[in-house]
Amino acid sequence: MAKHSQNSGPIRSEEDRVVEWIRGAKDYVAPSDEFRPRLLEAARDWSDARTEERRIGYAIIGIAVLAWCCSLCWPWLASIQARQTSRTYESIEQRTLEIQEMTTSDIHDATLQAYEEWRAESQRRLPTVQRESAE
Amino acid sequence: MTDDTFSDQIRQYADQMTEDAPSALAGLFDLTAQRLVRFSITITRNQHDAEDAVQAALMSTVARPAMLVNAQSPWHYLLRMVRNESLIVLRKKRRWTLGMGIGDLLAYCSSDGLETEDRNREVLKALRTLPSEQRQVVVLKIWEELTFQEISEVLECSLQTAASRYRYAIQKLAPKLAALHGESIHHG
Repeated sequence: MAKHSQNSGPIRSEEDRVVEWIRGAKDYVAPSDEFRPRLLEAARDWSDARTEERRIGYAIIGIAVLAWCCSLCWPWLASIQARQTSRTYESIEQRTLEIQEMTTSDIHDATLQAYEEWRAESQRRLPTVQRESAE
Repeated sequence: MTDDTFSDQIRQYADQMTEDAPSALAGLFDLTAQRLVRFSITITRNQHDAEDAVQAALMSTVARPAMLVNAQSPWHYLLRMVRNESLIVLRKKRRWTLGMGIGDLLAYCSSDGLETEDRNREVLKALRTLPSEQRQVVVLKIWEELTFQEISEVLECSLQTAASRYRYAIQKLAPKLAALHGESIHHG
């Protein structure tokens, strides 16, 4: 123990001296002059890229929200369109019926008129034909 | 500056990252870059690789500042990140050979005299002769003034391992550095 105490003194001081020598070289190594601007430029590039990515992300989200809103509105729009379509169809059908009716009645009237004319013509000519055949 | 204050400052910069990443990173760089680079260089043994590793670690903090904000000790967490990035860079490149790499340090050293510069360079050379694990412990212990408990957390090893690596490293360095300083070391 005594020997250890005697020896530890000089050993300790030798270690201290070695430590001091090494500590003296502490500031010998320094970053190069271009390291700082290089790193900051890289950080700025990264920051710009990140901003761009964020912008693209927001655009994608916007498009997605728009598509979602459209998907929600679509059935409503479709129902309005369907209602409008059926109304139009009904009105067209009504008009068609009217035209058809009008046409039918016109044809009927025309046919009737033609028949009446033919009958009148026949009656006018019939006595002449009967007379000729009697002779 | 105590480690707690230092960690708090790092946490503040990490907090600011979400608002203004470049300026917060500039602050974090000024606060930590030198210490991170000199730690990284003990693993990569190359200035450029060390800077690449530090850049990767700092960019990770920009991308995910929350992990630094929520860390128990942001400074130790940052050291661990730099260590991991340095090991990745080292694994990718594997280009260092013994004796190479000190040359590129010379351009970036800050020293007040030629003699001091020579001595510092020799100290670094002596450090480079150590195995990487021992070198990391020495740097964290002497340059970063971490406790063995903290070193064991950063290096993910046991406290005893960290302490013994340090002891072996000092034993190896002692004669080399003594010779450098023109002194003799008494063994026991």
